[in-house]
Order: sequence, then C-alpha cells, then structure tokens
Amino acid sequence: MTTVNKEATKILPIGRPRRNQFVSKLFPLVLVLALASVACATIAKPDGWAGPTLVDGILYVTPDNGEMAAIDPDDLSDLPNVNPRVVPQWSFPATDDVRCQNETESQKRDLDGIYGSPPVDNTNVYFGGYDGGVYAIDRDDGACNWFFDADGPIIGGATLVDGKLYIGSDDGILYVLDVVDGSVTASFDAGDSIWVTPLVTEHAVYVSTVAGDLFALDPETLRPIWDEPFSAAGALLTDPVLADETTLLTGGVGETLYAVDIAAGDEKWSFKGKNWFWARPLVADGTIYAADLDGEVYALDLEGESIWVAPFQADNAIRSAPLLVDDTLLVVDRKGNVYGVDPANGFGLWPAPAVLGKTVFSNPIILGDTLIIVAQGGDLFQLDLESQGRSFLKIKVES
Amino acid sequence: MSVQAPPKEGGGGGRLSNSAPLLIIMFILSAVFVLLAMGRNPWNDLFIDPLINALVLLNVVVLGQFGLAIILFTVLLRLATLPFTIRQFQSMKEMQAAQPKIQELNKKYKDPKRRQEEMIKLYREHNINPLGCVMPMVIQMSVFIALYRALVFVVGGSPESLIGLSERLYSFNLLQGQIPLEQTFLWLDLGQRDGTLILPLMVGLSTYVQQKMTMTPNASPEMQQQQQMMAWMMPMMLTFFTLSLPSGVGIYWVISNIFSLFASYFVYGRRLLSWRQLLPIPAPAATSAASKKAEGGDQAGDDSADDADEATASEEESDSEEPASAPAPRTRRRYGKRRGKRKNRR
Repeated sequence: MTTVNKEATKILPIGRPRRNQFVSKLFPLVLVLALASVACATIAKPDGWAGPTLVDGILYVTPDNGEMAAIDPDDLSDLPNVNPRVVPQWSFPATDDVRCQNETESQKRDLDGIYGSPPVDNTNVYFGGYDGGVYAIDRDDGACNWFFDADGPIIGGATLVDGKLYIGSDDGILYVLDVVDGSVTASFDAGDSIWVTPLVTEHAVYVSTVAGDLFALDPETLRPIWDEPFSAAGALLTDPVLADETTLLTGGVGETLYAVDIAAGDEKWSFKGKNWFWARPLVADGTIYAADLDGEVYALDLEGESIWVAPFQADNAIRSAPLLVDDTLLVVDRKGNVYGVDPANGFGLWPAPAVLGKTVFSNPIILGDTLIIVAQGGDLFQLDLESQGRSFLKIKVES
Repeated sequence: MSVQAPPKEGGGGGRLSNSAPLLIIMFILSAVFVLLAMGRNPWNDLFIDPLINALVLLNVVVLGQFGLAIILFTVLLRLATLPFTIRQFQSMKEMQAAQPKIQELNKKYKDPKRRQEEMIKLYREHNINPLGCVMPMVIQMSVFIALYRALVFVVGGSPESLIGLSERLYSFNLLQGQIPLEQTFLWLDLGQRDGTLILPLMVGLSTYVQQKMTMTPNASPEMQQQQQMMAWMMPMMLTFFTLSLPSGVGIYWVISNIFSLFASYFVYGRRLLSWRQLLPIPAPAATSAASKKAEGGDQAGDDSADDADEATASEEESDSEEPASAPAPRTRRRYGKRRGKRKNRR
C-alpha cells in the first residue's frame, strides 16, 4: 500500500497539472475553432449573373464581379485545350477610379455585380450595377460616356427601345433614361423593389415587383394602363415575356407561373410548379418552356396544360433561361450541368449532361455551333453542341 | 463552524431533470439516423430549415421587421432553454460552493482512486453535475452556427442567396409571401457586416459583462487562469467575428447576452451585479493573503496549501457558509488605508 501511495504521489505533481492545463487550454481552443469555422464562411456577395450579349460580332461578357468586357469571338477559336485564355478588347472599369463624361471628377467604381445582360446600340453598351449605377460604356473603347445613379441596387436588366433605356431599381422606381446623356425622361414608382428586366412593346411597358405586382405602363408617360396591377401571391422574379399577342407570362416565389391578359391585367391561367420560377420562360412554336428552382422543366401549351408526360428533372435549381437550338432544348442548372432535352417529350437527348463544375445562374447564348455560358465568378465556357456536351472549354477572360 | 448543506430530498424529480438532456440527445440522434437512412442532410433538416422557417414565420408576427423577428426569436429560444441555462448557473454556483471541500479532498487524498470516490460522494452531497454546463453551451453553439447559416440564406444580402432559400422554405403561402425579407433594421443591414462598429462593440461589451457576471470567484488557480483568459478572449473574439458576420448574428449575440445577464441575476441574485466586478482589476496577491488570514482558523494546519487556492476557498466559504467573516477583512486589506482615511473624514 505504501508503495502504491508513493507512486501516486510521484505521479500526481507531474500528471494532474498537465492534464488540467491541457483541458483548460483545449476548451478555448475548441471554441475558437468553432467560431472561426463560422466566421470563415463568408457573407454571400452580390456576384451578379449577367449573361453574355452578342451584337455585331462582338461578345459582351462579365469576366469578373462588377466588370464588363468586349471580346472578339474570333479570339475564342483555336484556343489551346490547356489553360485557354482570352484578352478582351476592353474591360470596364479599367482602373479603380473612372470618370464618366457627365461627371466632374473621377470616382471609385465598385459595381459589385451586374445582373442583366447588356443591351447594345451603335454607340454604347448599357448595364446597371448592384452599386445602383447605370452605365453607358462606349462599345469601341470601354470609356464611360455617362453614368446615372439610381437610389438602389440594379438587379434586373435594361431594355433599349427607340433611344430610351428602361431600367428598374431595388428602390422601386422604373426609370426611362435618354441614351444620349442618361437624363431621366420619365419614371414610375412601383412601390417595391424591381428585380426584373422590363418588357417593352409598342403599346406598353410591363414591369413587376417583389411585392408581387405586375404593372402595364404607357411607354411614353409611364402612366398605368390597367385599373389595378395584377397581383400575385409572392414576389415576381421572372422577366415578363409574351406568350402570344394577348398573354404575358410572369412567375416567382409563389411556385406559380401566371398567364396574364395584357388587355385588362387579369389572370388567364396559372401553373403550379414545385418551386419558385426565376428563369425567364422560353416561348417557341406555341410551346412554353418554363424551369423552376427545383430543377424541373415544364412544357406547356398556351392554355397552361402540360405537354410532356412528366417534366424534365435537372439535378439542381434552374435560374438560367432555357434555349432552343434546332431540335434540342438546352437547359443549364445551378451546378453547371448542361442538358440536351428533346422538346417534343422532355427526354434527355444527350448521353450525359456536360458538367461544367461551376455555379451558373446566367442566361446562355448561342455562338455559331457553340453554347456560351458565363459562370459565377466570371469563367467563360464554350460548349461544342455537336459533341452533345462531351467537349467544352473553360476560358479565362483576362480582366 | 461550517454548516454543511443537507443532501437534497426527492431524488425522483432530480433524476428526471438529469435525464432530460440525455433523452433529448437520444431523440436527436435517432432523428439523425432516420434522416441519414433516407439520404437526407440531418443538419439541414433538423436545424437549418426549421430555423429558417421559424424566422420567416416570426417575421409575419412582427409585421415584416426582420430585425425584430431575430430579437423575438432569440428571446423565445432563450426562454425555451431557460431550464438548461438556470441549471448551468446553479451547477456553477454549487460547484463554487463546494470548491473549498474539493480542494481539501485534493490535498487530503493522494490516491487518485480514493480521491475520485470522495469527489463523487461530495458531488452527490451537493447535488452537483460536473457536466451541467455542457448542455446549454452545446445548445448555444449549435444555435449560433445554425442561425448564422440560416441568416446567410434568409438575408444573405444578395439575390443569389434567395436561390438557396427557395430550397429551404416550406411551401406555405404565409411564409413564401414574406420573401424577400426586409434587410434593414435601425442602422443595420441584417445580411451584411456592421461597418459602424457599434454592433461589434455591443457584442464585445455584453459578452464581457456576461462573462464577468458568471465567473466563479473561488476556483482553482488553473480555472481562474482559464476564466480570466476567457473573460477577455471571448469578447475580443466575438467582437472580431461580428466584424465579419451578418449583423443579424450580432443582434442574436447581444440579446442572448442580455438574457443571460437576467438569468444570472435570477440565480445569483444582486450580489454579482456590482460594477467593481466588471472592472478589469485582477485579484492581487493581497487578496490571497487576506483570505489566508480570514481562513486561518479553518486551515491553519495546512501549510503546504497554495495561497491562491486558499484565497478562493475562503471567498467561497464566505459565500456559502460564513457570510459575515471573509469579505470584510479582504477589502480592508486591499483598500484599507484609503478607506480608513475616508471613514475618518466622514
């Protein structure tokens, strides 16, 4: 017994304090690691999801968050398979401080994100930034011709019609800007944030809000045409599109796609999906192709009835607008999976989806025999359609 | 002359309350296994998604002011976990009361096995659960991390985050109609960090006060060292993290800390709410000397006793058993000269 006790007294001064110290230091360490792991997860930034625009043989893309660049499509051909890079003709902002022509001094430009595909005319490329600025950038050299400061972030795109730029802002105002100098020629207070690209026709401007209201406005005066706006159950997020001469499509948070009579603003029919509709619906040959954030693609007739036996199911949410090329419906989901779907029955046409491995929210476009997709963060993907998704290039655009 | 607390009667109720955390853990584990078997993500299904939907539902209650929804959520959550919180404080208080005896046992029994047996006996006598404070901390940390993830989705500060939210929001018109949520509250953008530094400082200050209020004054030197470190490190760390976290999480911390202050007041009473305790004055050596003097009668024969131990032990005894004897000489020793002068002046 004595021996045991002696051993115990020998061990104790060495063993116990060490263990106590270890425990006392371990606890704060674990706490620090737990909190650090939380803190390391960064706050989601508004990256933007502007799709590319192809006008007069020039491709306008967003190579990085809050940047716009002009690329010669010829530069995209004959790129090496390893580490392909392309140098744009210009990019905006070229430097941290840029002075637009209607400003007296240079300003720091941090656009955060650009959400709408830019319309282009003979002089300028137009787009809005999450910083609340609307920019008219010279299409030849990327110089800023004018700048308009809206009161809230611009999350939708701009529509260019007859020398006027229609653009909505998170401050709830729809602005009509003169493309020459960016001056406001008309404005309309929609009462809540506008996150969509306005649809402008000969007779009306259609714009919706996150409060679920859809307005039809006079293109000149922006006075409401309907007695009451069309009201949906949840925020309206899809860009409004015409299904036919009398019907307008809109959808959003309520998991519902609405067909609205453009004469009176009444609901013609509605279609319930499995999740929110945010991708712009595609209307082709009397068929409406609409994708929801559950990854389902539906084909509807103009009465809102399903054409396919079952919807096409992508792996992930779909924010990108579907695209019809020849006899293939192209669908891109959030995870960057590109599917070729048979528009007649909704079955997959390609043996397997192309896996880009990047998050994609933007609307893709067709360039020759290839599909151009801009992923979040600015990577440009060029997918060979003839290969049915087996061959694609991930191109880095130098900013 | 120490009066020993009688062993508590009615063990049945105590056993039930003791087994409640275990039952909760078992229930959660079973749910995790079921969800894993179904190929789902238990973390999302059990924590994040219900939290997101609860927050959005509360947003309906507070008429669309999401900042108020976070405050209401925090208060409700802390009320729901109040039994755990009070138990944590009570456990700390009981541990605090038993410290002198624990140290006595440490000195008395050199055989670890015997010492452990005596410790267990002592814990039983004082109805102490050494892990009593773990459950509230686990709940706090889990909720904090889940709330952070939830806020990133709910007020992510970007349209992109709404796409993630769409997968987590339940299909009720009542909830869906709230989207997108109001992002501003007072001067804050709830989905973004507070650039004014006001909220991070509020988080740091409230955490510091809370830490100070719940510190065990007569712990062992190692524990004291740890507590001192935590009293500074936690507020600094949280201030730093709040600088990079969404403001909504900062609001949660501030409200949660205020709630903890009330809970500690409820358990400890007014005694601990002294401003002196909040001041960053470390206990000087004089304290231990004074305590030693005060405690001399009890532990006179124990020459090998650690000074600090004795100091803390005496303070404890004064708290729990001999309220009148210890504090007075200690303060006199620390501030004796000046106080004496003041007294004379009066």
